[in-house]
Amino acid sequence: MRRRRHTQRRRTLLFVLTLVVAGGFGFVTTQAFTAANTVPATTISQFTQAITPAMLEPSECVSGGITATSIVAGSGTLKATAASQLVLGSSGVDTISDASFGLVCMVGGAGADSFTGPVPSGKGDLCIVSAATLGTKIKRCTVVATRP
Amino acid sequence: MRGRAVPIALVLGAVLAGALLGRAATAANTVPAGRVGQGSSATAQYAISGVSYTLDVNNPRNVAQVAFTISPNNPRVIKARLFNAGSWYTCSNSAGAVTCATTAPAVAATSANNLTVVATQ
Repeated sequence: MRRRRHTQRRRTLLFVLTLVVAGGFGFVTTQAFTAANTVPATTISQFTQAITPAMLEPSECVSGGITATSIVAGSGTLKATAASQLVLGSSGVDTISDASFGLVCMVGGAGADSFTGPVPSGKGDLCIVSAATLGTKIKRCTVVATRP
Repeated sequence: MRGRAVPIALVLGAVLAGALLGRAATAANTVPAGRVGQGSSATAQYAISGVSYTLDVNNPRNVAQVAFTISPNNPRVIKARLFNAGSWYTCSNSAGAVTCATTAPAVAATSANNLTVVATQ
């Protein structure tokens, strides 16, 4: 009777021990899974700056004394609408002109463009022409670069 | 048979209880506040200087490239855009000399009004 009770107590103890081990196993397993979740060190920066017409201006026009304050861009016939302007052409044949303002930076594209500065001349207009542009198509405008 | 089912269920329940306890313990792990640089000028992590733009030689009404210097010179990924909500362009970094081709898709010079650069290690 006494031996039977002793055996029963040992079984109960063993069972409780099994429960503890099982619970611990579950806990450790979960810890092992989550321990792998690491976030690497990161450096990230963001920089913002307003872009002004002068920043887009070709260096030849900047060194030629023009500080652009506005931009006119397009294809075909392009006319300056203010002084200190950047007039940007296209890859086609453009006709770019400045009627009277002065200090205009005219930039043609790859086409055989025409450039016409104001009357009288000497108002500081600068032109960037392509190799396809004929000399006769450049009037009252100082060529500061040829490209493409 | 039924006599064994109860202890097995108890053991499984203990495993489950342990797992739940472990999950509850790790759920309390909080990520510390990080730093992210943003503003209207260069932030502490990377400094950008010498920004220059190049118009498309053939079609100058479009911007072909933006270039600048970045310091420290070790960012792994640099992207730039020329106006808010515009396309992001991938930049190449050669020892801090960064160039970003802005040709695909093309961006008109008249649209380029705000440079945003994002750099990450």
